[in-house]
Amino acid sequence: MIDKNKILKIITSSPTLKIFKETQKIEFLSFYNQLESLLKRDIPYGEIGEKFVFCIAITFGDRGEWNMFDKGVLALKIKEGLLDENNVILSNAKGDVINVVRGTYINNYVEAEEFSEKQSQFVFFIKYMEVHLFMNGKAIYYIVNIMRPSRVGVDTPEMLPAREYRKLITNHHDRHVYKERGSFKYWRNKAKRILIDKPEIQFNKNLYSYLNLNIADGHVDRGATISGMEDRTDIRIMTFESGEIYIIEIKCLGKTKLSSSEKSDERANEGLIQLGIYLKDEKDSKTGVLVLYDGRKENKDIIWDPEIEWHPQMDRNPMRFFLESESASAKAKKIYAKMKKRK
Amino acid sequence: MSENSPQMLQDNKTFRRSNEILYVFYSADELDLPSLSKIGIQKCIYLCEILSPLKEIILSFLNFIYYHKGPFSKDITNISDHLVALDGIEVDSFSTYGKYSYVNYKITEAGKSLVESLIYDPTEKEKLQWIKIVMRLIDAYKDAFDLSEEYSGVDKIIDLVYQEPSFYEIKQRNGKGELIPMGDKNNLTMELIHFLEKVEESLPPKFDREKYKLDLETVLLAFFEYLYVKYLSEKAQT
Repeated sequence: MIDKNKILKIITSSPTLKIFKETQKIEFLSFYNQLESLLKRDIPYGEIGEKFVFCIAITFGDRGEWNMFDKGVLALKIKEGLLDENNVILSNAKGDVINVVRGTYINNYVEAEEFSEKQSQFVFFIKYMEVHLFMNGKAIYYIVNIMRPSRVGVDTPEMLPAREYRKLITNHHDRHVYKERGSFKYWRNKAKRILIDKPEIQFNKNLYSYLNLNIADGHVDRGATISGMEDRTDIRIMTFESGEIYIIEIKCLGKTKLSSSEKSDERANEGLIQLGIYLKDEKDSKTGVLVLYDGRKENKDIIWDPEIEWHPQMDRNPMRFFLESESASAKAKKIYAKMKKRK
Repeated sequence: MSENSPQMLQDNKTFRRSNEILYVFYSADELDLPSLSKIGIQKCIYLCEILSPLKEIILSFLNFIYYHKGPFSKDITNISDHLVALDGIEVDSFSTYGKYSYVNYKITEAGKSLVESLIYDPTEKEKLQWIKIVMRLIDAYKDAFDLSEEYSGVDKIIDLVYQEPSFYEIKQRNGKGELIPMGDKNNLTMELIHFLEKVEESLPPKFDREKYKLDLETVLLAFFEYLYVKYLSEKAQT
């Protein structure tokens, strides 16, 4: 029997179909499949630091001096420092390395996107276990952690229907956000509880990637437009069966290096209003939920403005996740000190 | 002997089959694929044939049965040996899997010349083009993560072929020796293909359906990706 949802997931979200639609080159699929195998099997993540980054730009022609897909070769070259000063590998679609581009070191995905645009190239940006894929400056695909199952449509134990969005968002937090358990690092300074810059974008990408793999019956979008409007939702889920829409609005509370003060209740209330606008405009919406990642110093409830009108489709319980920054022992010390004080 | 005598018809059929097997080797050579063992040849031809109704290509269908290493056609083994004797293909290397060793073959210069003369006939050219499309996808998927670690080269697609719907159905009921329905527009494989051909119609109107219309090559790609995803799902459960 055909698993229709699996097929529809593949058609709407598979990296291989996206690559082929953009490039019309089967060679690039082959490259993608081999690169996925290489990154999953061959890169010594235990030995390289989490700040490890490199880029692969694909070009045509020339046979190279070595092939990055030969077992152990790239890993060895990384250990020998091949990518310490310059980190862009120019390779053909078979993985033959033509050279390492001189005078070029790409630090983040924004620079990789620009590089892809300037050089009109198919570019992979790999930051530790995170993989971004660009074609001529256009983001094609993003994998939050290559070591997780990264193929859309694969049955996972965490897979659930869209209507179970609360459980899915909670599972994402528990497995990948809580105490920076996964590869996603959101603290700039954990002791002072300073978040990384533009944290919402990072939480958005991370949650999107998780939902994309784990929603069983729908397509997940980032930055999808509301029907006939300019507005773009953070994350939108559209089910295959009925076309019902679930909207997720993400806000981060707390302080970043760039912000002068801690974002708190005001930010949360703004999020609620924003979500209300989306729900009003999106006639097919089933529900909308506000998700707060809370990096404030104190773990306290949000004070909701009583004047805000809650849209009928809005989930009445916004989801707030307090971002832990203390180890269990430090936390235990504080709790016990408080207990002693009370005595 | 008349052109329509049973002997002549049988000979023609054998020739056509030999040509098609040669096209597989020719495509493999063009794609710079490693030489093919009999396991790999069986799987490549099986996929080319079971998918051929999609392009309404008429291949001289072989009888494939459910065998312990996937779909198997005795004719392919015989014809390959025959092609070696005729210098169309030659022994290139050996692969050892467990207790067994397998011969790997590649096309010879004489074999290539023969193919190049055969494709003056547009029907033959079309067959070659079709086989090439399927072989390119086989090439793209053979190195996908986690596929058949114990095998090498093209033989690695064995795990994908196990997921092929017409074969899978027989495998599920353990129908060893059973004939796999080839060239049938209504078998499970074609049911999946027909679904993919009009996949956008299965999406609610809210989706941008035009965006998800698939052309022939993308239908095939989606088919391969489906097999791969099914394989990974099955593996995740065990």
